[in-house]
Amino acid sequence: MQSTQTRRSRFPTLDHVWLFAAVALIAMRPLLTPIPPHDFWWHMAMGRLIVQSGTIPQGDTFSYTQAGEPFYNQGWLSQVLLYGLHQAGGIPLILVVQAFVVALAYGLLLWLCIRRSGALRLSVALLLLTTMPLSFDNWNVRPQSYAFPLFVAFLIILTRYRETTPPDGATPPRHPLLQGRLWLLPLLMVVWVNLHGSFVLGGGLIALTFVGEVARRQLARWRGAAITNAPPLWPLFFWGAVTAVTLLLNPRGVGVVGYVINLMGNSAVTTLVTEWAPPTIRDAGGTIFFLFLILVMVVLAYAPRPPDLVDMLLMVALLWLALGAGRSIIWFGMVATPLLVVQAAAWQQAAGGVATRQPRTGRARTSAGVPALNAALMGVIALMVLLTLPWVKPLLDLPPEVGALLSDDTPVAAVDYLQSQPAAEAPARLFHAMSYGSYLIWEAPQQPVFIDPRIELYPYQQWLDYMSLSGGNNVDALLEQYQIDGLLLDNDSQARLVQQARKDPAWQVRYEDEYTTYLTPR
Amino acid sequence: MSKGNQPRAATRPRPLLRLEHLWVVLVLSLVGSFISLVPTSPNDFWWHLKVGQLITTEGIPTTNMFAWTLPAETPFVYQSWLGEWLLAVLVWLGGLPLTVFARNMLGLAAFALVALEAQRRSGSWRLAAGAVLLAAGMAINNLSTRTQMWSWVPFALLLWLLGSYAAGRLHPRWLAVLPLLMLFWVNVHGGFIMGLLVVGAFVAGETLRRLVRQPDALSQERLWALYAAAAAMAVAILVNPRGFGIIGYVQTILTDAPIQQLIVEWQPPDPESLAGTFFFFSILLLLAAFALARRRPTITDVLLVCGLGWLAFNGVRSVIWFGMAAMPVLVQCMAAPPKPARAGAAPAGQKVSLAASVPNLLVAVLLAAAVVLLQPWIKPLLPLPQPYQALFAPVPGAPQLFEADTPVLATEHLRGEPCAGNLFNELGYGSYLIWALSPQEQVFIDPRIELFPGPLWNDYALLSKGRDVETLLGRYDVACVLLDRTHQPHLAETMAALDGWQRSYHDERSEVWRRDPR
Repeated sequence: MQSTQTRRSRFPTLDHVWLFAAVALIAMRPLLTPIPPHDFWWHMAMGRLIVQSGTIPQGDTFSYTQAGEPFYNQGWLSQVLLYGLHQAGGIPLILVVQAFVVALAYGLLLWLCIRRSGALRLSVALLLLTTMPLSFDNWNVRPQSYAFPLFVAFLIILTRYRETTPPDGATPPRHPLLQGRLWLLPLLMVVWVNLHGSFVLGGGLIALTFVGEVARRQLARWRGAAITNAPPLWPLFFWGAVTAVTLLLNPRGVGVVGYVINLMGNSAVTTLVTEWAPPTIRDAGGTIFFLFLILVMVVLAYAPRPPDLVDMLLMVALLWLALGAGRSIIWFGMVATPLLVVQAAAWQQAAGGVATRQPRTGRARTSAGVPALNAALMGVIALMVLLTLPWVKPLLDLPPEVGALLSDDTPVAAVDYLQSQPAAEAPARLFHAMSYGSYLIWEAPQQPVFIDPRIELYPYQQWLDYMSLSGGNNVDALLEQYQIDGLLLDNDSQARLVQQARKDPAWQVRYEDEYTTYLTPR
Repeated sequence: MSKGNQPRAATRPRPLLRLEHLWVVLVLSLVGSFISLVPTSPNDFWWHLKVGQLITTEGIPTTNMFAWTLPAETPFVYQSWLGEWLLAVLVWLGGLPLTVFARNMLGLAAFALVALEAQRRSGSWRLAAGAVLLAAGMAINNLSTRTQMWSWVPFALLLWLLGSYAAGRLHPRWLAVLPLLMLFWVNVHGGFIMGLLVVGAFVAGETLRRLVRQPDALSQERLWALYAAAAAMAVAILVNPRGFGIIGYVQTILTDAPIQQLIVEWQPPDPESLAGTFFFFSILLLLAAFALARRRPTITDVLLVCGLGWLAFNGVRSVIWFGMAAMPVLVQCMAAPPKPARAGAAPAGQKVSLAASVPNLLVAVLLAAAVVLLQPWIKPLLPLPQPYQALFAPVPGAPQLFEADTPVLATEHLRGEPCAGNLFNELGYGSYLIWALSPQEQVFIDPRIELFPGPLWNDYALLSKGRDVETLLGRYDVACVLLDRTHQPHLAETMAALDGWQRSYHDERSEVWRRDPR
């Protein structure tokens, strides 16, 4: 009698349902998240400017406070991409591409977890229950998102390189330089260095893998153990060097490195931007991060075998970055998840848990389910994805937190009003919320802004003045100092200034809605 | 085997104080020296001392008494009454230097206990030295002289007792110490709550170990003894002037918005500070040690590390407890598996000799001498660098002990020329004013954070930032302002530009402003 375990399962199996559900759930999150204005509109505007002028701007052309000052526009390629998508299909297409990019990145990560652990359902469960919540805060539409698949691709390539040495007696690989597809790294880096400043992490992954492999050899020597199954170092060194050279393939050449160093050392960026601040358990994102950290700690402590040294090195390095700045948590999650899954799978096996595939090559010995029922389940999930598409969801009357395409702090109606006014009445020196600056740059390019989310462009003192004025402090002196002749205020984050300006007989309300108030001098 | 065939080392007397011990002595000497060098901040010292002095004459107070911004009869819980009384007794016995000396010795004793616990866990004095270094490194911003210092030794002692008991090294009768410890602890400092958390972690962890039938889990009898000790500790916390009310007090402290938002030591650790770097580095080390450990942590260890780690991530003031508890666990993971024979014990037939220890003893004495030289009575005689000496205020009878933001001279000015009305003061200055001028002079605000309502704190923050100064000073009918130029630079600038105010005193740190007679 043929065993059910050896019989080939018919498509779709329950495993296919798990995989499909995982990727679909990941994709649904960006589809259901309205786009916040901060890091979106000004990038689009920059893309428009690049396409229309055929050059990458070298200085500020959007503000009246720093007009003409040099500004390094590093992520030009993603800006052009965003603008191109907008021209092709508007905001809905941008959201769909965002969902695809995020699903691609985390789908690849899931594939890596399954490949390394052989535990499909455990991989899906841990990815959905721990890694996804850890990363939500960073899934907004902005250039950084386009770097996610590249980071995971680097991780996969470097992992495969470490696995390339065949077991004893197996066929030797092709030319060592072609091992593990390391040659893809420089090609990917050419794209990454023009997409987003996180490209430095790609270089970091290569360097840490190299250091880890060297350390592994050194440890083996100290212990007097034979060095087996270790991939040759020189291909990694060679392709790492080539990748470093490809960093120069960007409009500013070697200047891109200085840009990243300046950005990381910029006190305005590190002290004023929330996502550059250390995570804290006093907010939901920080709480999830520290719970994840505790989970990793427990799994590492009780897994029956020690983790791979290179995996540990990568995780500890990225953890250091994450402890210092919340925006690095997403990269830490990507590096930690495969390690967590591998160790959890080993623990599960040792505890006599659910059977897993043989890592890399084996087949599952899990229940395949009923193909028709599996197909039906996948159909239901696909329908759910369909309902969240930006062309469909506005028809469903969903709450704006998930149903809107743009978040409610995008001042669409207020800026429409501003633009409907005669040009002679437009304020020359408008003071506004930072996020409004981003939207104004796109929607009202003729209206110069006071400040916007290009944090490093504006001097630290101007940021302090912005916060002081937004908080309703030292109002008269600051309005005088910057010669402000219009106020476009966020009723929430600038509530005190709104209150004071409303009471001040020198100002009159010209427009107001639930979120925004627009005032001009009487 | 004949005597002549025995290894040579076995015949040579073994030093009582060996080189490996010197590692710990060296680190403890460094830690003791550092603690002795740390200036005492005025915030949590002077007002506690004043209350301690009041307790000796009038009993434990229960109301505001010191601040004019609230009715004098506003209730306030002086939970650390015994710690305050002890401070007052120390001052009575040996003046202000004796309080700082007590801080130094308590710190040294607590970290010595950490070393003992780390050695017990790891079997290595060298690793124990590393544990102490890391634990002290992350606590360097938490070593001021204040009532919290009375919690250091109880916490470290509790960890040692419970750890040794869980390892089967102590007889259950030792657990009788725990409720006695809590009787003292609950009356000297609010940190007693950490004691309950630690014993809770041991109860939960050891019960789980028993349930999952780990081979080295406690026997049922020993587990019952642990339960009884934990219950006795819980009952012991009721032995305080407030009885059950102490629980409500703790809840108030933990949820008080001004405390959570305004006080630096209740804020999350800063990775850019030195203490924060030690803390975050230790997290990485713990993660690596748990993963690559030669010895796995127990369930109790994981509960301790994760629980106290969670608290430490929430507020800097908990980092010291995390360091004391987690660093011994760290070095236990790093250590080689225990040998059957007791670690450090002399091989059979080998004599232990004090005489053979003389060179090591000399080094230890030299290291101890460094700590002795830095004690309050000797330190001012040393030619310490001028920038270090500039950190201190000229407190009479206590040179080089109290931070420069102790407004000694400005307070003397106010004593000589009292304020004709309400006084606005910097927060830490309020503590010193209470000690130096109460009851003649009342304060605007002081470090009894939970006493004052949120709106008052908001107004204090605005004034300190130099915002709405004229309005707020008018609203509170303030006649004098005592400000700190370092902590309140914007207020100093604003006062200089404000009409109707005259500066009657200033020094490097402080300024006194008085409203012109109306």
